[in-house]
Order: sequence, then structure tokens, then C-alpha cells
Amino acid sequence: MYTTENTESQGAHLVVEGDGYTVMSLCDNLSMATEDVLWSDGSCCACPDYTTVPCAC
Amino acid sequence: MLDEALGPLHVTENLITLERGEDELLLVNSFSMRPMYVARGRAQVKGLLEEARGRSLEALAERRPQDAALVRMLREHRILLGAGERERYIGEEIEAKAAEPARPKDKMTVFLLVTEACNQACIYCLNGSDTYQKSAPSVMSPDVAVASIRACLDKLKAGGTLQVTFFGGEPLLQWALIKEVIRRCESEVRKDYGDRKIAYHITSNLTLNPPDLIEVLKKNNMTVLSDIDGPPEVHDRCRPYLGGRPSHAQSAATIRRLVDAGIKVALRTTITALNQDAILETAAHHKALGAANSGFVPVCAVNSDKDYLADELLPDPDRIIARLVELYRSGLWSRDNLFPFNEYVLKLRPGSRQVTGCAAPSGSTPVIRPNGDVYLCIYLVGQEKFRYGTLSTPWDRRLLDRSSVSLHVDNVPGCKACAWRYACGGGCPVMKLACLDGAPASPRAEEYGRRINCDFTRAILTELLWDTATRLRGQLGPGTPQADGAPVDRTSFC
Repeated sequence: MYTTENTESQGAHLVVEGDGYTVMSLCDNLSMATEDVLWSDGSCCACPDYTTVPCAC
Repeated sequence: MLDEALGPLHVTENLITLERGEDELLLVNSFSMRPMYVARGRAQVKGLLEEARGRSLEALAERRPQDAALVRMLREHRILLGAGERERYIGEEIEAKAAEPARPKDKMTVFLLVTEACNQACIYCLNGSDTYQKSAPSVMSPDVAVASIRACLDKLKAGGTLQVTFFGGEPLLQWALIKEVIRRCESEVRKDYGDRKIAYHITSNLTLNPPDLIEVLKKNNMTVLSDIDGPPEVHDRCRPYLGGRPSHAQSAATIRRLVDAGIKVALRTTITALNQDAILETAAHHKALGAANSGFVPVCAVNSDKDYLADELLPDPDRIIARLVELYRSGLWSRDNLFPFNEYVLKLRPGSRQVTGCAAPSGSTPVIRPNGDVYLCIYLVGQEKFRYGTLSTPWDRRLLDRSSVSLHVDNVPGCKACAWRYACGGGCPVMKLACLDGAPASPRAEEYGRRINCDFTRAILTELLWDTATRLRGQLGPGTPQADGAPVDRTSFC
């Protein structure tokens, strides 16, 4: 059982202009987020809360 | 490829809808996590979604031929779904997956409580005096540490990485032990697990400053996390030494020493009522100390004894959110170096789906006590029902499997109807487990915990989504509407 699942590949950058609307995909921009953060356990199971609990006392 | 034989269309039941200003809209199906931004034309897009309900794709195309590209985009972003398209997990499926044999893992983090003793008396200490041996001479032996590390390496696949986190209590109280564990890992363990990697980390208050600290940290590429809860006068109220003496000066001196030696130190602040209004000031203080990262974590309202934090120490979630958003927008720290933004943005990566709030139920983050007992979480140390292994027996996955099922967002009563659940995974489960486990009621703490898990998480994710949209709109230049920089004031959560 995995906490985080990658379900699909990212879509292409996309902007749709129509009569009265402009719509954009944020997928490309959000797929640039990196995991290079010091307090991540880097786990395949994303665990942001667990590794940052107040624990050093 | 999307199947065109869809039957009647519907809007995903997991739709997060955010609105900003007069005409902007953000749509996300949290089950698929492919955010879509409407820079202008909110009403038209919402109208199209209404019109699509119950119609076939072909019928919609006939009625709205001019909007074919938009319909396709709504399909690709999983906003518009067909009758049989998947949107949630069912109970049997969750249980079947939990019961599958454990697969070798890519990565694990083992938390070694090298001692449960500490030289500080933080006002919000998670270690309860009944469950943790805080004053007893509790020290892990090198044999226990190495055996536990080996047990984790056995669960890794070839090429996988084990992060060994020296934890406590205050781990630097057992610096000689830490060095011995590293020595044995490097000289003995690596030979037996040549196809797996070991990385080292220490979470310490850094009030102790052994002379060879820098040398060992650098030699072993260790990462460091420490806690500075504010400028000196604030920090010393939150994190005094045992007996009450101020501790900031010593921690700050060690941090500066490490930073001057080129070691990256991440600094974290635990937010309580005492420092909730000093978040910007504290972030600047982290920067002045030379930190590589700055993090702000709302205090957990329950400790390992299932005792709740005093009401007067509970911060106000609304004030935390406001200050953190203000800090984020100030640009003092980049997104990549500011928690929670740097990690929460990972929840928004296309295709991500979080089904539990943390990795604990997966067994990727075991916590080892000095005697070798293995627990699900540092908040649950000492509670027998959350112990799933010992030094001398194989780790028993049944607790993990049960937790994976009970904490799955499609099983948690407060989560399973929420559109955000696959973005947050239900948040930190400690409060839920404490409540389930018969902790005495504390209405204010429980409400605080709920708001941190829900409102706080939503607010951070919302800020990140809008920020991403604003940046993208800026990149596209003239011809698209310009960002107004307005606060997120008309956000609705559907």
C-alpha cells in the first residue's frame, strides 16, 4: 500500500483560447517541482508531515 | 488515449473549484491531479460544465462545436468524466491491496531513538513522560542500531536508499554511539548491502557542540535539521533547557559554526500561541543564522501519552495561515526552501494521488526505540498497540496493513466525501488515532487538529495553485490577462 501514487504521465503544455475564455494547463509548471528539500525523507511515500513534526526536544 | 465511448458525461466528484477576482477559476480533480486554470471566462467554462452533465460527448460536440478544444482539455484534465471512469477506491480494493505481500522499497527512513533523554524542556514536547524514558538512562546500543539498519536494508530493493536518522530525545547526548554506528555501517554493513545506499541525517537541538562534529558531518555527508522557534527571547520561552535556562545562544553558536564550515542546516519552527505572530521575524532570523531551509510546523496537539497540549498554547490556524502566506509572498525564502510550501507543492505534481496522510502505514518510516522495539510513529512510541516489531522477531505487517486500510482517505469518515482528500491524504493521523484510542476529550485541541489537517492544508495548496497560475499567466505575456496580485479572497471549496 503506497501513500502516494503516480497515476499518469504529464500532459503537454496547453493553452486554449475561445470566444470569451482563456484556459491553461498547469501540469507542466507543477511537474517542475523538485524533491530536493532537506527535510524530506525522499520516500516514495510522500511524508511531509511526519518528518517535520516537532521532534528535537 | 481517452475512450470516446463514454456514455453520459459528468463532472468529477473530486472537483476542487477555486475562484479569484471577477473571472478566474481553477479546476482540479484531486484523484488525477491535473490542475487547469481559467484565466478569463469563468462563467463560460462553468456553463459548459453544466451543459455537459448527462450528455454524451458526441451530443456535447454537436451543441458546442466551437468549444471542441475546451471540451477536450476538460477531458484530458479529468474534469469531465464518462460513466465508467474511475474516481475513488472501494473497500474491497483497499483491503486487497493492503493484504498484498510487501514489495521491496525504493527508499526508507529509519528513525533511531539513540536516547530518549533530552537536555531541553520544550513547552510542546511530543515525548510523554509515561511513554518515553525521558529521565532514565535510555541508550541504544550499537548492536541494536546496526541490527535495525540491516532489517531496513533487507526491505529495500537493489539501488534503493536507506536514510538513517539519528533522533531522540537529543541524539547528540549519545554522539559517541552515533559515530560508532556510522563506523560499523561503513565498515561492515555496506559490504553486505553493496547494491543499496545509506545516507545519514541528524535531528538535533544543537545545544551540544562536540569538537569533531563538523568533521563527522562532512565526512559522511550528513544532513542536519535543528529547531529555532524564534529570535532569542521567543525561542527561549519555547525551548529552554531542563531547569529553565535559555538555550538559544548555544544552539545559534553551533548552527553558525556548522554553516561557516559549509554544512547545510535546515531550521524549523514549531508554531504555538507564543510565536504565531513572529513568523516573518523568525524566518528572517533563520536566514540570518545561515540556514539552508526554513520551515514552520503547526504544533501537534497531542503527545505520545495521549495528553493534549494546554489550550493556551494552541495557535490560531487562521493566524498561522495568514502569516505563512504573507511570508511566502514576501519572497524572503524561495518556494524550494520554505516549508510547508516546498513539500506541499509535491502534492500537486500531475498524477500524484495521496491516499494516507503520511508514510507511516506503509512501513517506510519505522521508529526504533533503544531496546529495538519498532513503532509506527514517534507520537505513538510506548503505546503497545502501535508496536509492530522487536529486535529479535520479524516485523509484523498486520498493524501496517490495518492502518493502511483504516487511514485510507476513502475509509476515514471525515474525509471520504471531501474533494480534496487525494491531495492531502487526510493529514496527520495522530490526532485521529488518539481520539480512536480513547484519549480524554479536548474539544479545542480536536478542533485545532481538524483545522490544521483540513483548513491549513487547503490554504497552502490553494496559495500554491494560484501562485503557479499567476506565474504561468505572466510567462505568456501580452494577449493574456495580467496578474492582479490580489489576495485569494473569493476562494470556495467544493
